[in-house]
Amino acid sequence: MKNKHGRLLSLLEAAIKWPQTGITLALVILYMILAFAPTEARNTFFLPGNIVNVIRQSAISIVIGIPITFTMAAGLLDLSIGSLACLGAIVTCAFITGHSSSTLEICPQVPIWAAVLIGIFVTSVFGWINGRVITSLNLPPFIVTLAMQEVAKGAVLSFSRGFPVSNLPPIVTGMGRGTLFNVPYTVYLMLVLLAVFWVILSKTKFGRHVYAIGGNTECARLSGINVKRTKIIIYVINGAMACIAGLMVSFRLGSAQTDLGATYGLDAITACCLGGTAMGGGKGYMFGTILGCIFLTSLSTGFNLMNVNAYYQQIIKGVVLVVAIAFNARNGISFRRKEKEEEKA
Amino acid sequence: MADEKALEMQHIFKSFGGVHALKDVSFCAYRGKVNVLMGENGAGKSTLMRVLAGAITGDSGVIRVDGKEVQISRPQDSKAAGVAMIYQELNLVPQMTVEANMNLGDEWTRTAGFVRIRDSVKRAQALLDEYDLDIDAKAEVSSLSIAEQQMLEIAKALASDAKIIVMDEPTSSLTTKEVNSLFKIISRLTSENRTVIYISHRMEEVFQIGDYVSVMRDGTFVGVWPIAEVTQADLIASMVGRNINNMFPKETVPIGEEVLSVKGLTHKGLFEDISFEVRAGEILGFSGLVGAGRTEVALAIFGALHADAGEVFLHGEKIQIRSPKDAIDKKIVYIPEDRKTLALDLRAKISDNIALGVLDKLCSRLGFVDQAAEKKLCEEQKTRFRIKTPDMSLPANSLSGGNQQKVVLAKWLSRDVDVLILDEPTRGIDVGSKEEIYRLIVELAREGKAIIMISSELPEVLGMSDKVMVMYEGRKMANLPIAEATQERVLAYSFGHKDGK
Repeated sequence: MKNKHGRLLSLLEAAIKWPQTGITLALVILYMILAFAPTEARNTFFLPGNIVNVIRQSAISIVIGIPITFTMAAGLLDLSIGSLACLGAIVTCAFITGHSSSTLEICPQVPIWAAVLIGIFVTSVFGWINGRVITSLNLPPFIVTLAMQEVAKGAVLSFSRGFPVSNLPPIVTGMGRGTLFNVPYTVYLMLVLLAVFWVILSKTKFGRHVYAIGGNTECARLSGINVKRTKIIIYVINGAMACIAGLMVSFRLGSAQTDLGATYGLDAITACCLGGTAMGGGKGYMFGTILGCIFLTSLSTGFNLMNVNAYYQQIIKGVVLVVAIAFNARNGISFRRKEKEEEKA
Repeated sequence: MADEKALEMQHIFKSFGGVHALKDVSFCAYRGKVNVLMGENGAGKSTLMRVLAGAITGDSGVIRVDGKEVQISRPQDSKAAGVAMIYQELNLVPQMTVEANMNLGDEWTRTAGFVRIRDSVKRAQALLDEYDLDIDAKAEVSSLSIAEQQMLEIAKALASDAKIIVMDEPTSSLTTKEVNSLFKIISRLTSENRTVIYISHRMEEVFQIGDYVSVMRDGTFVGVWPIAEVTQADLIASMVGRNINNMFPKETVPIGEEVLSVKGLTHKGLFEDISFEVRAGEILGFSGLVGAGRTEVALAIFGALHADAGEVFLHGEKIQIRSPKDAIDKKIVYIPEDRKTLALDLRAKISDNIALGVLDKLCSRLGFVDQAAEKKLCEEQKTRFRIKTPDMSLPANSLSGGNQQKVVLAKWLSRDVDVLILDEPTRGIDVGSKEEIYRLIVELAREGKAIIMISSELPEVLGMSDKVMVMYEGRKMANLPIAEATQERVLAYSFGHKDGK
């Protein structure tokens, strides 16, 4: 009898310590709510077509979530990733369609692969600028990327003169909407990227350096790690991935909208926090980020189907975030005054 | 055969914003030996080693390893030259594993940067076991005790296969058992012909494992001797050996009634059974090495740190202080060592900083600040404390260190203060301003305040105090009237020698 209880207890202990407990519980609760929702909503949500939709939507936020997980693991922030996604989409689509939109700046039509490379290049350069300004001028990432968000938005609007880039050729929309074995191409792309970056973060030298910079920047420096270069690389990756996410959206839609990516930055941070990756740095959970993205997508899709007011949804999102962070920080929270004083000593 | 020099640092100069930390320092370490480096707090030992480690760059000077000149401007250069540095403040990434920390910056990789995780863990564990360190290579550093973390720092240096290993106070958090393990490791290192540089304050250790001992003082190098040729007294004399000239404008000031009395103050792990009294007009100097517990005692009196046991009496009446606000209400004020982060808002105006000390008295009942009264106060304090600035509305970071300290004093002394606790009041201040601060302290004593001055600078303590209390590892070693306090005695007590020799 004692053994059985011992095992159960240690299992429970491990469950409480697991960083993804919070988000798993949240997902379970959410899906239980959806399962017991009013019949019409429930039936619609659990339709295969809708589930595929949820997965497709999550794929986009996961593509953004991946580089943000790196960023937060290094103790940094990137608020500009949303506008960079928009910039990448607009630039790429402009080069794909050429002069098709009379409001655009002069833009030659190039093969699709070239346009994609140009788009990724442009956003990577913007990402590089983020990194360079932050490391060389020693400015807070929050402010620099916030400023870049505005700069990128401005770049989009000046380049496109305020209009979206539409009429993407069928080949392109084929890529964006097509499926293989009922799974969208974009999801396969996401899985490949996820695998690549998950491995980089957990198994390579670079990944370790990222964690070290977040965990103890000075220690990283004193250990001979090139902190500035690593930070810049992170921001370049952010730029490139932002473009890819933007293309996933616009290829499916058939056009690049100028308000693309408006919520990506904050949503990604929310998803990472829900998944256990904290702002302080030193830890990054890809798996948690995935769960977080799925949670947020399911939340908005499900609640939309249940006709929950969009504003209420925002409130719920905010509350869930605070509860998740508090739960994730449970080891550090103290309720008793005495405990606080002992910590001080 | 003469011992060879594995390391030579020649004519090293380093200053931080006008304050000379290292003045023409030439230091050498002999191969395969334990080279001890000693000196008082602020002598420059850690600064010199940080230059060697590439954590900071010297202003000028040459470094030679095995006779060849090397350029060390970044940590990578120092590593490449075969130097491993074990810092006094733990230099680990708490969220990563033991093995990851040990290999940080030098990860064992396959192509494309993939870390050979399993092999690295095996290799790390093998190293830890070989040196008898009871640590799991896969454990997360945050789960280790402070002592284990310190041993891990040592393992990090061992893992790098360095030829020169620098240890800065490595035994400060270790138990006797671990200290013995460390000494065994050091023996092994020297038998492998590696060079150990060992910074320590603990005399017993110095004589137990040292082969050569070097002494620094006030940023200069005093000398190096084989351990057999020196005695403890010799070393203490070299560390101290300066004349206390009339740098200290100490005047006899009428001493009044007892203001503050502390009995049996204890906080487990930090300080034990501390008792002393201070009278009005008296300056009590707190002497001792860094880590002796002096600041902690002050924080406990000030209500910023909880005490497990002990009583505090103010003007003969027992009082309970639960927070700094209580202390301030009872006219006990503490001025921290780190004035830039704990005592000033550097970006705020000088006048705002001063006003912050008595904001409640400058405001009307509804909370509006009386601008005229504030201005008057600032002008008064500027004159009284001789703050040198063209304009009181400039930000505090425009002032020199000495003037910043005056602003801190002005801020706190705008209030009515009975007990003033100063923690390293002249740290990082140039000589000229130091004298002004000392004058101010004497004036404050003359006004009848009871002053406790925590200082690691012996001449300062001896030049300004009426009584000197020496602490060592949380215990009170002595409480001497100034007449009985000689440099050698105070320093001996600081090192833990019970009879002051």
